[in-house]
Amino acid sequence: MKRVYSAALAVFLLSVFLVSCSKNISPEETQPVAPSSSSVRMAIAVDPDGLDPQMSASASTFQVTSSIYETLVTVDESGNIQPCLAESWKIADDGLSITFILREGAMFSDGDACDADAVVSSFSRLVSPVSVRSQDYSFISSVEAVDENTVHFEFSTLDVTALAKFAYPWSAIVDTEHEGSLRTEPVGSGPYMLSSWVPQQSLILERNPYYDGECGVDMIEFVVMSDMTSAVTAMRNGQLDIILITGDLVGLFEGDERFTIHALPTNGLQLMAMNNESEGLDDIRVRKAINYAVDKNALIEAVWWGYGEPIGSHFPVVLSEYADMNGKYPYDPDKARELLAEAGYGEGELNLRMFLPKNYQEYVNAGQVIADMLRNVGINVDIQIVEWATWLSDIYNGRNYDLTVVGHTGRLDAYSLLSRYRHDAAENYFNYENAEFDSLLDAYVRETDEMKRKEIAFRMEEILAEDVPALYIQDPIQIYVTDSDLEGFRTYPINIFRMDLLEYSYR
Amino acid sequence: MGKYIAKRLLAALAVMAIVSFMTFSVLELIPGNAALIAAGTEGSATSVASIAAELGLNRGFLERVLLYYKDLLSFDLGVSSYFGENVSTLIGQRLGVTFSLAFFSVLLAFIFSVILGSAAALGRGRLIDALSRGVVQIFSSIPSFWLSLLFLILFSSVLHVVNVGDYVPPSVSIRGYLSSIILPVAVLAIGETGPLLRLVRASMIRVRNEDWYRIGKVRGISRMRLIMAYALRYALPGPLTLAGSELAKLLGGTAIVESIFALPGLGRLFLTAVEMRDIPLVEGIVIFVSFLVVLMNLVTDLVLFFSNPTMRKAGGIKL
Repeated sequence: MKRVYSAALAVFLLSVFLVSCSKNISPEETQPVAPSSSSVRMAIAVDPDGLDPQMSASASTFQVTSSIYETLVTVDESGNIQPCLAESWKIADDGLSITFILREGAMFSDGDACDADAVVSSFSRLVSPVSVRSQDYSFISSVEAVDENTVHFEFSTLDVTALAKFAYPWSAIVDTEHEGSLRTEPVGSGPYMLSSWVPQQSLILERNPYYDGECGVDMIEFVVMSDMTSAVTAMRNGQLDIILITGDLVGLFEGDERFTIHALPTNGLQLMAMNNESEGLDDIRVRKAINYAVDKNALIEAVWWGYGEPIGSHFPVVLSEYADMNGKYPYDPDKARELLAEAGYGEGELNLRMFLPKNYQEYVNAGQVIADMLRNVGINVDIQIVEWATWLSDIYNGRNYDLTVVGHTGRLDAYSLLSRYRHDAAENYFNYENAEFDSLLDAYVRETDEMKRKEIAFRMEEILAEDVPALYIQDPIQIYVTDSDLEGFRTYPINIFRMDLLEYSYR
Repeated sequence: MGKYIAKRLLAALAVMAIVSFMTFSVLELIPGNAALIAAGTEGSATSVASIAAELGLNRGFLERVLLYYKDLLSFDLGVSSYFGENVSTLIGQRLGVTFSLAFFSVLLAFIFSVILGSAAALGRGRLIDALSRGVVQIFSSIPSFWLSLLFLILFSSVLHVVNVGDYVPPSVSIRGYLSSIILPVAVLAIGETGPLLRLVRASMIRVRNEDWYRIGKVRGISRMRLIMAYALRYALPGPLTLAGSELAKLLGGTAIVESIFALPGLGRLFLTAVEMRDIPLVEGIVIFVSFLVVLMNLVTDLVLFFSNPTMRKAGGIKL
């Protein structure tokens, strides 16, 4: 019998170990939040890549940090610049300097003043090599605190898009006194502060007691749910207030008065990049043939259930400088075969390798549909599905590919968006080269007249639509579902959420 | 006994060293690194360089490995390059979930298998036996991701009996804890039942044909006593060993089930770590899990030793 006791003891010990291990997550971190009028739960697919906006390039980071930190200025839904930490600003007539007047009494969540000195040290960190965005802000030659609430920036080169650069979430003012620990313990002057973060489970924000503005809700909980079925189930059970869904799931929420559906084009685009130095693709006739061979509407219908705006150039439809280039190459497979024959490629004579990033199912699906359409006009496509890290290293940076499908997030101006097409840009994974385009880019940042600048943007879009270094697919429509009692949810042309504007209507 | 355990733990150290070095080498060979991922397609080329420098990726391979081992000697697992959090904290946060899933699912599968497996063996050729063989076939063929989705839709969407994505530790609420793990435990237990049940049945059939079992029967020992006190003890070492190794396997990998039920477990963490080329996190988990596997094997041996006298008599384990 003694042995039986020993065996039982072993099992018991294991159980004790197990339960004690479970306590590693402290209660206050995971305490389920009772539904109250002042909390909002939103599902996110992946964790932020740390909470230091100057040290990350992920959209997932900025969606959270935009509630914790403040930028000098911000944007409304249509991309117009709005005051944020800065109440007002003045751009010098020559465009080479800008002065911001800060909101009085702004404070970081640790109680320190978020004054002109704080702005100066935050920007000094942003332009230093430690930040991942230093390159984007290299036009700033000096930044100084004029008085407690006034900050003056001097620029080394004329950049007419400079003001917009103070709205991007990565330019947020961080408390540099905590710079070593901002990734996990962020300190900012925004409406909310981090309460707890258990990676791959949840991230909870609570009111920043030192924030002087209004907030409709006291607590924001981001719940990490990588599986769409779980998120949709939780939403329908009333456990969540905001989720992002794919087009096929709209039917589950449509006509249900508990939910509001927000389906709007985003500031972004999806394309099939072509390596302009690959054999075959270096011939513009082949690239045109590929554009004629793909039925974009059918593609968008098949992959995104019709939720997308077709585009003909590298430009999201939501920006004011957008020009419609859809008419250039309508779906015409016969024309495609003709152009291919002209370029010297008969039926089945052109072989292309297509690499698709595994982590993005929609791009994999789109690639497969496109490949099918290309086979239809006699192009052999060999599909390889690769991991994201491999894609970044071999395809995007190594440029060892023929075709690949990917998405890009938009910017507020044409220069930031299109500078990757400059022939020597490190981000020019298309290997695209066009001297006129390069000179237009330079002209754009120096043109102070808004109308003329718009003309330049239109011309750049036209050149890309003409040369087709890529097959431009669509500006995706993002579909958010919110609790219908929740008001104030909007989407913005940069990666931010305005959680402070949310409120419940019935309470 | 103490000497035996010390020897086993020392072997564990060697295993961990080998496994972690192999992991380093593999991560070095596969394309992509954490800096490229952090910069993504929207960062500039200079940002890749500055992130790489920040993460220490600009150092040579051997230098990085040696620095890692140096820190490891002081039990410092380093900082995750993706989450920016201490690796030990990240692993610690996940132990509860992963242990719960692994332990309860194997326990459940084991109990179920022993009952049904013994019944099937004793009633060989009869209905109960056919039933058990059917269960083995069905349970072994069901893919766990499919079953997870099915359970999720049935119990959460249609019946509304459990919530999704709310892991509640037992220290907060036992009821919430059980409700948050019951579905994934059931899915995993079903997956584990197939092989365990088959093994229990086979072992019990072997016992039934042993001479001592027949003699026991002839001598008039009650059927219940014969099974509980003799047959099971003789038949169980095999299934117990299997259960132990299954437990070790589950501790390292329930990624699919964890992802679907949105539970913060070790498997999902490991998957993310590899995808994000988060070397410190991958290494930390690999070292931790290999330690667990060695530990589980040791515990299984000890349980066998205490539960079965023939193991000692036959010199199966020298303590």
